[in-house]
Amino acid sequence: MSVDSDPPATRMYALVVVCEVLAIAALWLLGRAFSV
Amino acid sequence: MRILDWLVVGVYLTWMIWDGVRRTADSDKVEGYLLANRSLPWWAVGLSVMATQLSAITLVGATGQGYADGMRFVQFYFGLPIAMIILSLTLVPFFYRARVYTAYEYLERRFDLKTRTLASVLFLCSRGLSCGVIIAAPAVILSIVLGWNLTLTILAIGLPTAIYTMVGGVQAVTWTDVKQMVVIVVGLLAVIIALIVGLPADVSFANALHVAGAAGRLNPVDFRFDWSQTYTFWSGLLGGLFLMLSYFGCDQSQVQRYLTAKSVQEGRDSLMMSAFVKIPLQAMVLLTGVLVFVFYLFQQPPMLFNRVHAERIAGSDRAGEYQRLENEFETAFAARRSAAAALADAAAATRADAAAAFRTRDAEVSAIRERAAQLVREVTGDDRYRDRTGDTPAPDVNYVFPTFVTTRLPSGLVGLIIAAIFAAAMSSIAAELNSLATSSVIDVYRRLLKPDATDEHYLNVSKLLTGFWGIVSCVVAMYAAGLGSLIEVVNRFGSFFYGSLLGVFVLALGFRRATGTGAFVGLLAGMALVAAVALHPSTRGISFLWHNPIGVIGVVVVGSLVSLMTKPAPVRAA
Repeated sequence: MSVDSDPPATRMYALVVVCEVLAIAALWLLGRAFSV
Repeated sequence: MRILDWLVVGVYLTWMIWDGVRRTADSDKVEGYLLANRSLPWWAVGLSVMATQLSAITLVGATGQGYADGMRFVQFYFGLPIAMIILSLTLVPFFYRARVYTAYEYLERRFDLKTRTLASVLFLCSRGLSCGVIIAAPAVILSIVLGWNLTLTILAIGLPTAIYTMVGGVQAVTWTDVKQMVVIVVGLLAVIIALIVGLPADVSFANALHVAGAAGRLNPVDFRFDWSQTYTFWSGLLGGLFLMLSYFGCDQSQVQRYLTAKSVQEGRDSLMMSAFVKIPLQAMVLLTGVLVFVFYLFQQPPMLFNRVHAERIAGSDRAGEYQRLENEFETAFAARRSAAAALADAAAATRADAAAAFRTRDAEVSAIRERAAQLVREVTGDDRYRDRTGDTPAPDVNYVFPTFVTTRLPSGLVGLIIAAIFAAAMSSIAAELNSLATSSVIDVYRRLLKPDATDEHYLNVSKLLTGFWGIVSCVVAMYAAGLGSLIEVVNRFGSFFYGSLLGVFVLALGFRRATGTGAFVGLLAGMALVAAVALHPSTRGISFLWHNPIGVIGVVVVGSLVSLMTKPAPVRAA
């Protein structure tokens, strides 16, 4: 198989980054919401 | 364990062996046996990648971390999604284009034989030992918590795995990994449900989280920059990034997973599965530990979870002192339980005062545990009781989850969780055995010892070497089980070369002028630099996560300089 025939899925990678930011934000909010 | 639990574990083990050994289709050639003819779907490979990474000690240790220190360990994985993107753009297509069996095979095509051989020998030594540790660690815990014979426990984990890996090759590894991952996730979800149901009737899930927050257990993100702290946002994002790049890009036990995918894109997609799922999954594992902590605020826990020392103290002249501590612990626990109930019941306006009262009681419980740990240290001479994870003696952490499971969960569910712990161990061991056999055959036997044999010969040698590494791992496990310090030595040895190996691949892909001699000398220099940083008194405090970028920088700097002084080899077609 050729590498060139399988271009990287740029949108998929952007989605990974967005999801990671959201996951970290959610975890941070969890800590804030239940800190006493 | 009751009969139903034994039945569940027995069914699980039989299912895995049966499912593994029947995966012999297309395994009559070396490429089929070691790489499944590069034909597997992305979702199966993706689950196999995750199952390989999630070893039993990760499962049991991470829930213990959640109990003792809260959710901060999740930051360890913050670099993983970025690492997966970088690998999908770089090493994954390079490995596919080169049609290699091992990551180290690529190093010979780019550099020379000595660099490939050094990398593969480092992998074989490190992984051969660590495979034994992967078996030993859960075997020791299960044998102590359940009173099982240690040798039989090691064999119960190691032998079935070796058998199905030897017979079925990488297809057996992948398809059993898929099922083992399902067993692990179902088991964890069942425990979470049992923990929520097990909360006192007047404590809601949200109130339980408020109590956990007051106890410092809900602290998933720490933005402070501190070299000595292992789990912060920055160490996870930067140090963790390099660690994950090394592990998923240069460790054959992971590289071989995605080399079995049916195309470059499916290989990339299999890594994307981890990129999306790993952080939420790890948060779920840690939350399980946090909920176990909340559970034990309302139900009395043992003073120390690791009961291995109990007999020695009972037989010593300080048995009475330990008993008095047990009595004090019981009283302190009752006071903390009342404070926890008051905090769970408090309105928002009075929650801060209730939290302060709870923390005072919690500190009293921790102080008694600390005195108990000191007593154990004095009687047994076990210096590990000097260390703490959060507010819990370090040797206790790995015993929290198995103790909870075996003493508090209903029959049947206990068997399911023990099967999940077995699954976590076996999925990692199978991938290790498979990759050890592959590197032994491809990088050493076929390349250095017998280059002109038939495909059938290499297939038979691959099967024999899988069995050989299975036996080596079980033997190492039996020795490692009795030597706690050996486990640390093995882990440290791995950390010495992980970052440096990544540095060699960075040289290979990023520095066109890099030579074989430069890469070889750079790899040795990088390992020496990491060893110096890890052992020198002035830098010993630097967290191990930073060793990986240090190793990469060492290899790239030294490798580049040596490359400038040496003549490049003639270019070879990849």
